[in-house]
This record gives sequence, C-alpha cells and structure tokens, in this order.
Amino acid sequence: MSLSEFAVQVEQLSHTYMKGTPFQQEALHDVYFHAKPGECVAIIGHTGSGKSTLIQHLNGLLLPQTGQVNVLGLELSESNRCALPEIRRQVVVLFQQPEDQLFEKYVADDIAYGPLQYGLPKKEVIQRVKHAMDFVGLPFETMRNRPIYALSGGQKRKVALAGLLALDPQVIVLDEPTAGLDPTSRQELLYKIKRLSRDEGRTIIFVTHSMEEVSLLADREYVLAGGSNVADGTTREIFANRELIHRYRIGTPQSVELVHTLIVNGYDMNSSTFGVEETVAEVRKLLRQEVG
Amino acid sequence: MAEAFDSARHITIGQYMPGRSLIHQWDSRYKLAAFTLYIGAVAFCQSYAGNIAGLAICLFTVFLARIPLGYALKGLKPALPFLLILALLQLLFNGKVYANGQVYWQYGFVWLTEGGVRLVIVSTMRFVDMMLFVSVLTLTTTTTQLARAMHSLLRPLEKMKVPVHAFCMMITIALRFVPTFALEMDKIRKAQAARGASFGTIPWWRIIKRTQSVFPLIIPLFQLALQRAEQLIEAMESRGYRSHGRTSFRSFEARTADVMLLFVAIGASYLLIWL
Repeated sequence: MSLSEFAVQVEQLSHTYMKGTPFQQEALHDVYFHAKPGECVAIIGHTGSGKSTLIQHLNGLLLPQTGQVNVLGLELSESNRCALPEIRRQVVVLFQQPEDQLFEKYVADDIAYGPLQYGLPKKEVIQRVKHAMDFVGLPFETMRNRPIYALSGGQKRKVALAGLLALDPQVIVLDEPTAGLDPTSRQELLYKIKRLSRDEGRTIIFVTHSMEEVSLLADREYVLAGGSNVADGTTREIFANRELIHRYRIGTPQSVELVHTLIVNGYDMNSSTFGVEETVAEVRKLLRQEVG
Repeated sequence: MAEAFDSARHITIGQYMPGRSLIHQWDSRYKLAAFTLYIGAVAFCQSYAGNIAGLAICLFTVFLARIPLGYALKGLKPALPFLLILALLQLLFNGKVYANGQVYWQYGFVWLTEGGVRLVIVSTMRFVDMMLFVSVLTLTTTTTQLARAMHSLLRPLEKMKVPVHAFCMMITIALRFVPTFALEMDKIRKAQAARGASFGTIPWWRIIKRTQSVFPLIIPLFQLALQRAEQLIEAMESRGYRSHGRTSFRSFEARTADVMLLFVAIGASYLLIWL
C-alpha cells in the first residue's frame, strides 16, 4: 500500500516513559495503527494499555523513539520538527477532561485562542468561532459572551470541542470524549461526532471504553493491551470474535451480549450481528423459526 | 518549537524512590535531625575545604542511598538559571560588602574582590549541597514518615501553643502535591499545544507578550489546584479529620544503628563548620 492511502499511519512504534530514570516504563511496544481519510476508527483498551500514549504521537506531542509515524503525508520525527505546527493545525486532540484547559473568561475568546495562535485574520477567526459554536450547539449570538465558569460540565466540553473545530482540522482525535458526562450531553456529543465523520468527512480517531459508542460510530477498531496490538478489524469482526471479547474483557453492547448468550445456549444465530436494529431483526427471525 | 512535555522528569524534590538502602531504613526522626544539621553546617561553612567536604558527604549519601547519581543531579537542572543569575549579582554588587582581601577590578559601584569571589563560589556550592541533601531526604523518605518525624521533633514547641500539627500537615501536603502539579502542568501544556499554543517562541524582551503566553497554563493550573484543595478538605473532613488528639498507625522505635548514624552526622557537621 502506498503512503498516501492513509491519513494516519503508525508502524512499529515503541515508547518508553521517563527513559533513563529509575521510573522508566515501556508504554508502547511495536504498535501499528492506520486510518484512511474520512474513516472513523476506535481505539479500545484498558487503563495502562497505551492508548493515550499512542494518540499523543498522532500530533507530535510525543515523537517516536523507535518506529514511524506518518500523518497526512508528513513524517513525524525529531529531525522533522518544522512540520509540527502544520501537523498540529491539521490534527487536533481533545484530551480527557478537556474542560480543564479552558482559561479565558468568555466562551468566544477561548474558542478563538487556537485560530489566533495561527495568526488568522480577525474576520476569519470570528467566522470560524461562529461556525464552530453553532456546530457544537452553542448559539453564537447568545453564548459568545457567557463567562465560562458559569457553564455546566457538558457545555464546557462543547466549548473545548469548538475550540478545536475552529482550527478546521482534517483529523480529530478524541480521548474518551464522553467520560463523565450525563446521558443527555453524552448522546448529544456522540451525535456531533457522528456528523463530523459522516457529513463533513473528517477523519475521526477516538479512544473509548464504551462498546455502545463503538457500535454507534466506528468503522474499525484497534484493541490494545499492555502496550501492544492484540486485535484489529471492522466493528463486525471484533464483535463476532467471542474469544477475544472474553479474553480482554471488552464490555460488549447489550445487543451483542444478547446475541452471544443466545448462541451459547444453542440457538442458531449470526455471531457477527451488532447494533440494535440488526439484533432485533435477528431475534425476530429466530422467534419466527421457533413458532414455525 | 523546542518543547518537551516532561516537567515531572526534572523534579526530584518531593519524589519518593522506594528502596531498602541504609538511608531508606534510617529512622526518619534521626534522619531528619541529621539532615537538618548537615544543612545548617553547610550554611555556616565559609571555607573552600569545608564546602568540598560537604559536597563529598553529599555524594557519599547519594551513593549510600543507591540513587543513580545522574538522576539526583538532574534535579538541579531547573535551578541552574537562578544559580547563575544569583552568582552574577553577588559577583558584581556584593564585592564592596565583602571587601576583605585583594580588589581585582573596580568600576563605579562594581567591585570585584577576593571576598566577593569566595562568596560566589561558596554560596553556589552551598546551594548545590542543600538541594542534593533535600533530594536525598525526600527520595528516601515517604512524606508520611517525614511529616511524623517533623512532628515528633517539633513536639516541644506545642507546649508554647505553636500549632505544630497544622504546620506539619501543610508541609506534607505541599510536598505531596509537587509531582502531582508537575504532571498536571504537562497535561495542560499538551492540551494547549494541541490547539495551537507554542511556548517559548516569544523573545524574552517582550515581557508582556511573553507573560500573556503562559496564561493558558497558569490559569487552568490554579483552577485545578483550588479544586484539588477543596476536594482534599472534603475528603479529610468526611473521614473525620481533627487536628488534635491524633494517634498514629505505626510508632517509632529507634535502633542503635539509627542513633549511631546520627552521631556520625553530628561529627561530620562539626567537621564542616571547623574546616
């Protein structure tokens, strides 16, 4: 495969934290990861599996100690530091608890921070802030002068997301974007992410614990454990692999759980079923067979 | 864009490094007393010989504690600019105050004297010694041990209504949170870099701009610190924390070796002052 086929390409990446101190610890070992332009890819794994370390390589916050990271055709390495500003503009990362990073007093000022840092003209910055705020569901006219400390947790997260979208990035990386949100805000945020991927064609890479989110959003998944790849494939392939799911204690969505339980109990079902509608259809079919 | 996101790596003060060395197992009351003595002795020591001896004792303690030397020295790195500026100021402006010995060079109020040069060298060495001692102390002693040691050493002051316990608690908490805030700082720095911030690209003479450029770090850090403080208070109060009438889970029991080590330290400190 040629390089240009991928928006993000990671090969044989290893990373050791605090190298050369008594506290050194290997976080990634020979990890690979690919994402095509416009794809929505999930990274799954338990705490300490290296997910966060991996995503920090995608915009050059960490540079590869060994292995290669290629983003949008640009090589990320110690010797290619001059490419970093361009890469950070095209690849944004929303970290965990992004509401902690807001520092301005007013909503619009904080969202404008990124575009202003890149020296865009004022007019365009205003345009982008407006667009980003409208997109995340904070109406520009009424919300731009709200003080940030008066916002709810869900609203703050929207501000943080808008701050990144105002950079108009090609690749958006999200680290557990819905952690700690109430169900409504969560649903809303997932829907926004889906729109970014499906309607705007941006490449989305997200880290998650929730398989419901995976089944809702992702085209493909990478499963990490102990700093190494253990599996990857389409959502259908991963959910069909019961042995894998049990071994790495991946919490499956309730729909998949149901299908697996039925299979274990001797019912004849397609093990690669996932998603609520599909499961309903399968169960209907089963019921019809039982009755007939 | 020369940036590295690893403040935590450079901060050796406040980090604990588990181990079973002689220094690690030293009763923390005696250890604290001995280290305080050493630091006091280093502070009073005026001569080159004394300071070299001090440095030697320092390095020997690092060796005894089985701390990699490079790691212990790394803690000094962030302090280097301050050391240099301090040394320079002392060299230029303190010469007249310490005008004993030969005057090397004189221009207006700037006097370079033998006393001044000695002061610069001695005070720089002192600073290095002290930082190393404090690093060794915190690397080999957990903060709970340290606080309890401090508490028992300062206990006599309680009779004079000094709030020893509250004071020790404050110090423990402060030390405990140094690495936490360093990590927090890295996180914020990364988050801001991910949305376009670049730190350290504005030249130092544009002071206002440069100060403004760290607002995105400082403000969230303060917010987090205040939040954490509040959480800590609630956690402590919900577990029934009171500042008086507390007992402890483990009691101190000094062995002969602990006392012996203290005597060695007293001897060495005495030596430092008289050298």
